[in-house]
Amino acid sequence: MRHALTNRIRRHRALAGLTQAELARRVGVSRQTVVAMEKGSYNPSVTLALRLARELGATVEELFTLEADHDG
Amino acid sequence: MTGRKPILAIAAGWTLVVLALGALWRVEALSLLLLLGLVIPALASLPGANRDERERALDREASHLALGAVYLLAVGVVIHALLVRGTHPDPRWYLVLALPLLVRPLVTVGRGRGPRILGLGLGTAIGILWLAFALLGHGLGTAGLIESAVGGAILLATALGRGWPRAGGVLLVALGVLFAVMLGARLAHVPGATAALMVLLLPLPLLVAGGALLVSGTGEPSPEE
Repeated sequence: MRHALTNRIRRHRALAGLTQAELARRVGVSRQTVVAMEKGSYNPSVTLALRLARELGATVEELFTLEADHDG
Repeated sequence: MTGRKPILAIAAGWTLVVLALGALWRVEALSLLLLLGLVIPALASLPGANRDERERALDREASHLALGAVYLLAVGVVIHALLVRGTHPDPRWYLVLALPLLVRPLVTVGRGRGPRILGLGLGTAIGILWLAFALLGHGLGTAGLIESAVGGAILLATALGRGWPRAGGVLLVALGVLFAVMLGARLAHVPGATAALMVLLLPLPLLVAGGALLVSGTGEPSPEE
């Protein structure tokens, strides 16, 4: 059984009233990286995950969930 | 990401310089534009380049694929020359093969396992390879035994490095310097690529192995040791 990482960055960003570009600037990455994270095509490092959590007023566990992937 | 602007400025400046050289000196100077393929990724990988972690990961993946493509090309050329044409290819192709074969494991082991394992692993590998080539090439006769003694010395120095990394490191470096001096006289009479290949395969790995053991002997032991 594999585990898939899902995230709720888009939802928390909307709650915080931030655009992708604003969030990118605050956490020090490109807007494309925020887009990739929201799509789930890029998993951030622990450092970046902690920065995201801080800027979005959430915990890392609220932003990211490790889910069992039964296809694996 | 403002970090790209200086890189683009350097690339544009270099392009202008090369175009001027091409116009004023000779058109072949345009080949100097090829250096951009090396300089731009190198500059982009510097900490000040302000690239985020995903962009760096993409750069590494692209470099990995580029290495694979170049290596595949070199393997194809070498195999085609040896098996289809029945001749040795230009020695520069061996150099293209040898560089990634040496650099990649050196970086992987050196950064992943530390200088001690790198020095011991490299010393052991060189010693065993030397012994194998000596015995396979010369058999168990006098010449084979004399050549084997060199491999034995490398293995002994490496074994010494297990308990006394500084002593083993000094011996391996000394052997590397000895090889470099012995090769030095011969290098003047061989083509540049062959000379580079000889340095790359004989003294340089010994110097790296010895240097790695010396570095490991100067630091604090890691917790698991």
